[in-house]
Amino acid sequence: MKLVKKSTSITLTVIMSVLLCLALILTFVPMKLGSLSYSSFAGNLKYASDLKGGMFGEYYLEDSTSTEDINKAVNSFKTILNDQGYPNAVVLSVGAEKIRVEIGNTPNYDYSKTRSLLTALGVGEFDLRTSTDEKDIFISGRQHITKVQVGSSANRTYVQISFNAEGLEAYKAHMNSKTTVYVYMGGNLQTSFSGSSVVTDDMYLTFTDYDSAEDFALKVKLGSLVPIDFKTDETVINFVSTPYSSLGLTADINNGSYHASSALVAIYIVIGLIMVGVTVYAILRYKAFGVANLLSGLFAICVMIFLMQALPFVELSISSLIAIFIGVVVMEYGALNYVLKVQEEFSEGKTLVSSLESGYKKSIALNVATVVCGLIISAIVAVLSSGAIRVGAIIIAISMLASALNNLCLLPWFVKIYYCFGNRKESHYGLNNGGATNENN
Amino acid sequence: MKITKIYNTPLKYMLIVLASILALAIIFGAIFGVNTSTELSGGSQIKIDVTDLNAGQVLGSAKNTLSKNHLIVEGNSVENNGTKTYLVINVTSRKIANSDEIRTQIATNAGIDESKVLSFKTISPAFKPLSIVLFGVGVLVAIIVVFVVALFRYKLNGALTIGLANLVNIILYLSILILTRIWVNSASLVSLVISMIITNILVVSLLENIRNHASLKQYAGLNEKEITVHFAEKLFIPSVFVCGALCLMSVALLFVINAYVQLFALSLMVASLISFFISQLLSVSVYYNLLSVFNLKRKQKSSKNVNSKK
Repeated sequence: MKLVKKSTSITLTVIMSVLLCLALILTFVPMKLGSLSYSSFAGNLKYASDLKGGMFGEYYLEDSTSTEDINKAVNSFKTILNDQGYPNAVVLSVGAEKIRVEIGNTPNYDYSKTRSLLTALGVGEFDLRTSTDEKDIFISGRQHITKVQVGSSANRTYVQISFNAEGLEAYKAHMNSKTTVYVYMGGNLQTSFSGSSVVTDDMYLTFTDYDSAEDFALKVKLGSLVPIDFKTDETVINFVSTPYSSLGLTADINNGSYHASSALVAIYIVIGLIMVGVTVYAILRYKAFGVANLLSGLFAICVMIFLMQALPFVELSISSLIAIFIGVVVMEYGALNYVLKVQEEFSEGKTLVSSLESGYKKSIALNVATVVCGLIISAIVAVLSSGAIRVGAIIIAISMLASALNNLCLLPWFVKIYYCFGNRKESHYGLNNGGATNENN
Repeated sequence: MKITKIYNTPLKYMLIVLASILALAIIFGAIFGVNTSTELSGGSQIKIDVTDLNAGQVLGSAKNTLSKNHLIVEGNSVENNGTKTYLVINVTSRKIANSDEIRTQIATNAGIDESKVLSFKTISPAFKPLSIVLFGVGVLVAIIVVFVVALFRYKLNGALTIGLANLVNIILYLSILILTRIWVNSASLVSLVISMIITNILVVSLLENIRNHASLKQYAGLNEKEITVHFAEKLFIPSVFVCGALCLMSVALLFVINAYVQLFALSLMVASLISFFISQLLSVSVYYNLLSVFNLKRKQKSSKNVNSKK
């Protein structure tokens, strides 16, 4: 083990303390600086509707919609919501009457975005007309549109719409400087504009801001992919509480205030108690190792939370929280293996520094093997599954990476810094009597 | 009781117990089928107008009524419908024979007007059948990949041990779900993945320890069983920690008053107990038995070679 000077240890300790404080603040503390607000990494985590409630949409079907088309529409909704970052969205057909969608709120409870998405789901087919008469439709979303994307160029945001061969022909035939083009969605006029000569095969519509462009693109996409029409006048979009709590029943959901699911409260309490219990026990029994594990574990958890909130398809549900808990437990398992290896080496008569070095080396293979094993299983399951199972598998994969960071890098490094500080007494590491450990007393 | 005693359980007894559980599960499943939640098989939904009413009381009364009519409530929520507030209840049955009668009973027991209790509507499954098939394929592919990787690292004995551990894990877990009538839903499938990961981590830990240390001089005088049990004992406490933590979480979730969460907790508990059993007992026994057979064959081969050279 390459030792460093005490002065270097002090410097490293100060740097690590600052970094840890910064990481904890960025992860858990929301801040407001003037008009800018920062909601922290933990605050940015998305929750599915089963944990914190959310919004629902009920889209009433036109009469005589076939079961096949209803199923296609449900599948389209699921795919679209998954792409929008709602893998746990609940999408069901209710009888042959309506389709019901439930999604969690955005992290900062910006209901406008959630409501906008739900509104876009039932907006109906996009079409272009040369007049307000239905007979003058020349582009029909379901028949002619192949791709819709948002782009920006020279400080302008645009929506690019691509057509198939038939659509392109119709587009070129009807778009000229003498026509007025009417944009309809679900039979409702959205806007109109003067046509122009066709220069490119794709249609470009410019917008003043990115959000409006994205909203419009989503509506066009939904109108083209969803094969059925809805009775837009009867669509209901509003708030819904969690399904797993009796507490939520008395919530004032008119303004979006909820009682968090009692399951969420229970899970947080238990996770907190277990982690505090493990930490206290580790510090009392393994002393320096326990303290080092606490510090490195906090870092690793900050990294985990950062990755979870950064990935758009991670949406926490009950099973996701259990997956997080398992990930942290596996991380502690790896740390325990390292500590036990060091104790084993010391009990064979090696010196403290040799025990630390050889114990670490012997634990590397074990920790790498467990991380690789966990990663293989969770990665394969994540690729081939969907919904809550996929999110759970992704979270376990993230926690394997955090476990590797903690047990292969941070924990041994913190122990080394502590050693280089000049703390050479075996009792500081839970090792007593020249090789005898606390366990043998 | 010394820990070593539990490793003395003969493999054949464990296999008999496993085979019995599997046989029972097959018979039970054939007669009663598998209990699936609305996520997999759909169900029914009923809405009750609770505007200006105590939703908690209405819910309690409605649940009692549904329970008396043998309908299982999976989840309930409250939604704002603009001018009205509705209590939404999902039940696991798709077809309800006397739905109008049940509506009347709900209204009467809750002391509300019958017009506030809307009719039952059938709801579709949230999961596509293809999603379940793909999940199954994913699990099998993961088992195969782990087997192949283990083959390179731990040789055939280790690979067979871990492969068997995974297969038994899945079969045992699903069998117990069938026998205990715990719902098969996304939560229980996540529990299965968790169980597989814990089992693999614990078995890999054992194999890794054996691989790195078994050839040392200090273990020269020990036979296959003694070496395997020695390293299994070292992993006993870490295994108890991992499985115990999961059990503790499961116990906490049992106190949440909701059928879905409670059944999820039970499936988690089953998952952790199975992982402990397979990693600490079954895998240890399988490994040293395989190792004994392998070493015996190797000795027989080398003695044949000696004889043939003579």
